[in-house]
Formats: sequence, C-alpha cells, structure tokens
Amino acid sequence: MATIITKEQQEKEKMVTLVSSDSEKFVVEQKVAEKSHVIKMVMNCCGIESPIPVRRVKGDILKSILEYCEKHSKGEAQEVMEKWDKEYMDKAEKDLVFFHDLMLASHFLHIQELVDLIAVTFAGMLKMKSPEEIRQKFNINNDLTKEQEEHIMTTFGWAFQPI
Amino acid sequence: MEVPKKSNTAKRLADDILINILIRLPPKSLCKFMVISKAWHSLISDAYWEKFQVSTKIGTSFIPYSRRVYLNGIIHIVASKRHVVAIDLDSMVCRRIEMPVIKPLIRNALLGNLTRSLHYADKRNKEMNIWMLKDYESGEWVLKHSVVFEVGFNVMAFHPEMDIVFLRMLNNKIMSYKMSNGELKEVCKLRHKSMRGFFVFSPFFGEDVLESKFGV
Repeated sequence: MATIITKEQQEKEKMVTLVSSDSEKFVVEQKVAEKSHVIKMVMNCCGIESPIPVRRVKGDILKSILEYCEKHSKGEAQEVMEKWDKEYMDKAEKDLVFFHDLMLASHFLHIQELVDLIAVTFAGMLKMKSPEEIRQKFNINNDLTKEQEEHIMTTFGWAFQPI
Repeated sequence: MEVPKKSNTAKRLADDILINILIRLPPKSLCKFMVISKAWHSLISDAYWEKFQVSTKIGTSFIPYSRRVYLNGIIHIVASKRHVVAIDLDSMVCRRIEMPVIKPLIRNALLGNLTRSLHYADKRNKEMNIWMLKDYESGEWVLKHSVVFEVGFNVMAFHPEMDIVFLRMLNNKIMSYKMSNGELKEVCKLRHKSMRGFFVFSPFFGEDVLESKFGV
C-alpha cells in the first residue's frame, strides 16, 4: 500500500531541532540550519530525526544566528539583504560581549557569510580608533616596553602621521 | 580581543578571528595597531610584516606574494604552467585563461594587478616581456612592454596603481622599473635572501573594501 504523505508531513520532515548549550530548543527548517557548514555536516551524517546539540553556543546567541540564517535562506534581493545585514550588525555591535560571542559562534558553526560580515563590521569599528582607544575598549594591557613601542613608531613613522 | 586563554585551540581560534579582521584594515591602521600590545604586534608582524617587511619612502610595503591575484571581484589563480583560472566571486563563474607564453618554470614569471588590470610578466634571461589581459571572454593577451636589461634580475611584483614593476637585482636590491620612461630606481635592499616574491600593499586598498561595503 502506498503511503500518502500530506503536505504537512512534508513540511514537518524538513524541520530540525537544535539545542543550545543552555538546553534551549530551536526548531528550524533544514535549509536554515544548513547555512552552518558544521550543522550541515552533522545533518548529512546523522540525519535530522534527533535533536542536534550545539554545545558551545548559548541560547540567545543561537537565536540571533538562526535569525540571520533564516533571513539568508530566503533568497531576497541583494539590496534588501544588505540593508537587513546592516541593521542586524548595528544591533549586535551595541553589546560588545554579545558581539564577541556572536563572532565566536559564527566561526565555530562555520557560517562564512556571517563571519565575513562580522569581520568587515569589526574592521570598520576599529579603523577610526587610536591604539589607546582600542586598548580601553577591549581592556587590553599594553605589555610592550617603551623601546619596543618607539621602535615600531620609528619603523612605521608614516602610519603615525596625521593625514 | 581578549579571549580567555583556555587552550591552544581557543587561542588559535581567537588569532584566526583577529587576523580575519585585521586583513580588512588599511595598512595605516594596521601599522598603528602594532603598538597596542605584544600579542597584536606579533599577530600583525608575524602574518604580514616583520620577516618580509621593507618599508619604503613612499609608504608602500611588501608582503609575500602568492600566485593568487584579486582584481575587480575576480580571483585569478595560477593553476598550472599553462593556465590561469579566474573565479568571479559574485557569480562563481570559473574561467580558464591560457597564459600568453608557456613557461617551464613558473617562478620566473609573475601574475599581477597593474593599474587595475591583469598583467603577466615573463622573464627569459635578461629580457622581460609584460603582457596585459585584454579580454576575458577570448582570453586575449597583448604584449604591452618588452625590455632587455644589462644585468640579471627577477620580477617581483607589479605596482597596483602605476606602470611600475618591481625587480630584484642580483645584489638583493629592489628596484622599481617605470615602463613609460624606462626609469630604474632603487627602492630598498632586502634583509632576507630567501624571499622569492612580493605583493605590493598599497595604503588605499583596504579603504576601498570598507567603503564599498559600508560607505564609510
């Protein structure tokens, strides 16, 4: 007897459950989860029947990442996507800890588009800042000796000149 | 980026992430950020500068060259001694382009970005021929310049903005050769003999990338 697969079932079959490090569950479409190369590989080898644990990523980060993946799996016009990406980044960069976690997670899950988007945004953030501002912002201790610092400044004198 | 130093893997990941960000910065910021801390200094210098760095008066620096050239959204890779593969990063269309001349040894030849178009320098004894890719569709190259030098040399890099080719002479000096008037000028002397090639890092390259993405 032939099995009749209803539309609902078909839809259901494409869903996959992801579990964050703090046990939060997310049910998303397979094509959304596939945006992550790592999850895609897991789905390929283990199937989508059982929930996939994403141990290194916390719920709030995973939620935000899946939001990105979902938007990017729709195939919308480039202008729409660029605008959306910019808003997404504007929101993310307000909270530095969140931004940092998002960056780590995008690397860990291997979502190249997001890795690049974050890197470009980050570079834009850094670009206009002075070394001192960066030290303050990221709480970096300057462990270079005075001599080392002077050596760099003499070697790359042109970079330290005002425009 | 201060990431807890849990393990080597975590450290390497953090370094990878930071390098991925740093490569998108203009060289001026990159040089400035060397004074942030030891970690930043070693990351920036390890990756790009210290071993190979020769800063020049015009603010152009060299980093080791690879056989990949990025130009107008297309990556060009020397795939074999006969072919260059061009990959359009937007459409992911790949195209195989035949080299203007077949070289038994690729090291004597150079692929590069010169005045924003793809060039190929071919060296035979003391003669240098410079070809320009005229048309992607037909893969047609035109011989743009031909010159014979009195001394031995190696072709090192193209200047991305001007009609200049950088050559390394036998005495380890880097000379710039201007094609339009044949002017040969000393740029600097190398510290390391083992350097085989460079990539000219123009101070405005990184800016372009950022501007096109974010309009900053």
